[in-house]
Amino acid sequence: MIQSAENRKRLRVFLEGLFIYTWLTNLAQTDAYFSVYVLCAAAGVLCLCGNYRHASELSSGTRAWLLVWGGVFSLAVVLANYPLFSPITALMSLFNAGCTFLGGMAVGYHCLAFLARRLPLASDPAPRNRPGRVFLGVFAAVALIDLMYLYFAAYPGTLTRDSISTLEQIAAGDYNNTMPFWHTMTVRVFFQLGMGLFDDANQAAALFHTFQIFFLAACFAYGVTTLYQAGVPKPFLAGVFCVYALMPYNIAYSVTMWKDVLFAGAALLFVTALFRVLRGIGAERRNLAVLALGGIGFSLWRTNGWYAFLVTTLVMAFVLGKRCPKMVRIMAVIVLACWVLLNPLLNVLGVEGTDLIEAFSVPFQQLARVISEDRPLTQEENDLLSQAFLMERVKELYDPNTVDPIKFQAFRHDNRDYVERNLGQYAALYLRLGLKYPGDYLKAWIDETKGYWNGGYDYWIYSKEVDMNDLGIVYVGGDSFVSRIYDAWFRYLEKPAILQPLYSIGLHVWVLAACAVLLAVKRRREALLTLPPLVIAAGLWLGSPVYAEFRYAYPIFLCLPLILGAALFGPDFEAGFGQNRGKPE
Amino acid sequence: MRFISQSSKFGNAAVCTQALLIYAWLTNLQGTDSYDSVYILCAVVGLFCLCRNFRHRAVPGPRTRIGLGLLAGVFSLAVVMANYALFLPVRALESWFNAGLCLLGGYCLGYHILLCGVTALPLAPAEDPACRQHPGRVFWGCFAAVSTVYLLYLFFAAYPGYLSTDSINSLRQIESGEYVNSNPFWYTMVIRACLQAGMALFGEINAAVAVYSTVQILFLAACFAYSLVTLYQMGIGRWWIAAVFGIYAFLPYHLAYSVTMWKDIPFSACVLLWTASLYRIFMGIGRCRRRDYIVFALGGLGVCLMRTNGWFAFLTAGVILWLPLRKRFPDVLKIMGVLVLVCWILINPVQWVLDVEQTDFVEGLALPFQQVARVVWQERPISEADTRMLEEVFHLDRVSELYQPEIVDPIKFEAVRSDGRAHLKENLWDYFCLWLRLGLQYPGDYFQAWVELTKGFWNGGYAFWIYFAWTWPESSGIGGFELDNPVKDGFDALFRYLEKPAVFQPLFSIGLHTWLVVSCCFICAAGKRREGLMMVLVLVILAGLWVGTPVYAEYRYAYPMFTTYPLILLATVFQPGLKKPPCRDSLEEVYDPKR
Repeated sequence: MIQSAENRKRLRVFLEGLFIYTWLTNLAQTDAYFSVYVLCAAAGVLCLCGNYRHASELSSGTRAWLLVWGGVFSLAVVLANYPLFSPITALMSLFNAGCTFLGGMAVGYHCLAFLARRLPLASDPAPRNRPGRVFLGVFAAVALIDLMYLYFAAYPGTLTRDSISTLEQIAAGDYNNTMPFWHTMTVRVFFQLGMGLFDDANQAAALFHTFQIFFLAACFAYGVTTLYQAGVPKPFLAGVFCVYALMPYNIAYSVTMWKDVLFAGAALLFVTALFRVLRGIGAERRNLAVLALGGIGFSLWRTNGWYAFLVTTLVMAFVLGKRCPKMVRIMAVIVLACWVLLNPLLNVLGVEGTDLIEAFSVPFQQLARVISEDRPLTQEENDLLSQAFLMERVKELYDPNTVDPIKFQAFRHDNRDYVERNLGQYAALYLRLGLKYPGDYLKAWIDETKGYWNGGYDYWIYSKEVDMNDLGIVYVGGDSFVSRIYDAWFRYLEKPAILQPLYSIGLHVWVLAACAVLLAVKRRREALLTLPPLVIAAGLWLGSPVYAEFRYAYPIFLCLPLILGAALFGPDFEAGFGQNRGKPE
Repeated sequence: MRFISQSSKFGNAAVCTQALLIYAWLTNLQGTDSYDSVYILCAVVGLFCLCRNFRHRAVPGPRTRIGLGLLAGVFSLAVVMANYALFLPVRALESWFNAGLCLLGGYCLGYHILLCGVTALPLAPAEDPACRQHPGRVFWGCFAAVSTVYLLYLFFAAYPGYLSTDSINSLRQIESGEYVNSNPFWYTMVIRACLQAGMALFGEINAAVAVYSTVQILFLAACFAYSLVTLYQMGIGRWWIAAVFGIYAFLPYHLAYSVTMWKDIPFSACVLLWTASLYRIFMGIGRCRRRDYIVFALGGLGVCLMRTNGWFAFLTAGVILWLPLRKRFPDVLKIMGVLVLVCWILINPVQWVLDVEQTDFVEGLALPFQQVARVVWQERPISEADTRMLEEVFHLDRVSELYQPEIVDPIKFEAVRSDGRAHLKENLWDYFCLWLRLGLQYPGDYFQAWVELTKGFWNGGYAFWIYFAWTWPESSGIGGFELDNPVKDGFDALFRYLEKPAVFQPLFSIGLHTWLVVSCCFICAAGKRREGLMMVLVLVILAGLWVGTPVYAEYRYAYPMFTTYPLILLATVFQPGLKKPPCRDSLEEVYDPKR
């Protein structure tokens, strides 16, 4: 009996190992980063071995949740790689897809089951009495690294088309909310101050970037200090510091005039303050003040930020309404205040709202795919679509990975009024075509959003330039020794395939989701920390205009180290600090 | 390695570091021109073994550790060398970094797999050999089943069998009565006997060819059945035997080769006979020792006569076996000695008397030809005197045009001057010196030429043709049947479903099987198990390919390994008589749960 049970267990492990091998083999020709799958498979095998003798340590409820997680993870991978399993009607494709799905499920399940058994790890019991020094040290180090980059290698910072558009609005005094108005105002303060002080556009731009560097450095330092105060072991702290201070995208973004950078910094501030409130780290009033500041930035610095904050607030109110009423009230006030700032006030100021079609990326792309695939359409459908799109241009321009060609070159902007008047008809047409061609809709959605929920893709992350402009801003860059060091540093961190996971949006989203699941099944309140970045990710899954735009997911990259620290290391009840002292959760 | 695997403090960190190195290994091999799946399989197995070694605190003895380190290093080096194109330019720091990581990752992988093999094996078979009372039934059952599958394939899907240019060449020799030893003379004689019997019986060439195919099928089936019955008599579990039966009966290459008129097929079957019988003799399997010796002699005879280089391989194996076997198994050595002598007579004096033209000696110079051709192709500066010498043998402008890194045939057949071979033969020493001189001048080119020409036999696996599923040239009057029936459809589907999915690529990988056989040999040697000696002949044949193959991944050249590896693998994993569990019938009594 015992022997046969042991044999069954061995057989199951063998089969799961075989499925993981199949998973990786079938994904070898993927267009995503293969290294991410290899990393997952390696972790999966190690965890499978680790779970071998401890399968029964998890409750059946937890196991069920982990299985669901494994299924979702695996389905995401299979869906994103659907061309590898085409034609799906072929028996062999179905067999391969089935085996790949099972392998992915084994990977997803075992990684989380292993962590669910082992987490949380013990915090460092040594007293952490010098948060001020840590904050200042990290702040100074990060700011120094970024300032050196700005002044010796990338002066006056990176300004892309978006940044120039922001500055042109400031110069003309004619604002619209496509580049968030309040972000434009932030830029305006520093740009005009710089112009007043130096009377030079380059120096004015550099002044804004200097502010942005200090802001980001403060956010990073706040995050690291919080982890320090939470008793996270020093090697992990050093890792987090390195990620914030030395990863090329953090350095490059610190000198890039994009809304996404300040927005991500605000997201980190908010999440960090939330973590402090939940764990009772530091003074409550100060935590709530930072939380409010982070929340305001989160709501105002990106067009969809307010919606994400609203969802976060609603969930918080539901979960923490009774435990932390003060915090929930503050968040509610922020929601309300920011709504006023974003709507009535902008109307009063005559600021043009965001273009409606910005929100229709996925529907546009789905309709464009149906058209480009030459699917049969009724006369009525054809007429209606012809009013909105230049049909021949759609076929020419359709790019599965970005909606921009359709949005800017195939959409009939001259007929926008007609479309807006008949929005109901278009909604019905969209639904009708979706029911008729669900495969095309699914593929269009996958190709348009897969970068945010699968592996990782080789797509640009940052640039190092100043776009053409009439403002007198020119890229100086740098050819100094320091500049060459930064170039070499960037090259050696970006080129090797083994470091691709560090740049993979999908992997970071998976880790974030895994942290959420783990914390939720453990009934730890820190699960709420994952909410803001997850809402941002979910927004990208539903309506990203580009399939793997790194800056859109930048808040996830900034919040993840903190969330990971919170998930891996439990509160140290013995050492204790703040309000939670001595109270086990 | 011992420190990090034993220390409890650093244990987890060591496992993570080594797992990361394995991750780096696999990631850096992305973009390889060989089978990804083989590397993936190795990595997955390596990770399992890493965990297992860590959990069991597996520690080998000092000698074994040196051996493990060496073999793991060789494995890792082989992979990096075969994929040198991924680490170019070789001067770049990043290439060095990647290659270094890859070497370390491959080393960890190889080390842990081998360590696991050394410490966990051998296992006890499922049953005591004494419980296996019906070898006769098993033999005939397996023989009947395998030959039925093959015969169905022959008559419904591949009639009258597959013939390539080599096969047609043999038939032409038989027709003209003028024999050349490039296709071994004694193998041609076997074909001749079958064809003559076929013609006498049916009076038609296709039927005659089918008679040959049938004889080959029956012989192959008998050899496989012999291997299977050996496993049965070892006490190996029934599922294992079923799996080996499945490999022999249903893997496409066995099916296709069973009906292909190539010297490599009977040769490989003879290698299996020899290996299986030697194993039986070593382990005392079966009751009739004399029969094993007879099979051993027959196998040896086939090995020596069925392939041109078979005799040399057999001689080398004999020399290697002499020391370990001279006291305990003198009869084995005596038989081998007699065979070497008899076969030498059959291959040399007898063939001189019969006026059989000998093999072109250029056949043995595949690698030097390719190395010199690469130097010419790369347009390296060569002295005038050397250029003149080379021009005596090669059309140098043709060499640059025709050079293909993975096959020497274009150089051998199209770039050598008509009188070049004779000139080369007359001035062999001078050309040997020239070859050495160029090698010292351009070692990188020589090395790359060797890697490209032989890598299929020592690295991963490559997508290269495996079997020849038609008759060519069709003008020979043989074949051309348009078979269309459900059995053929069934075989076609079987072939498609086994050959197309990437997950099954390891089953067709020469390199992976080479690693497997070498590992088995090492594991047996480390455990001081004499089973390792039965692998000598296969290893010698493989080593021959590492130094002198004309094509980089010609499957049939490595076919002896594919016929023998199931037996080699299971003989390594299990050791009959290691532990004697009770016979299956009395299991319940012993494992009474109430006790």
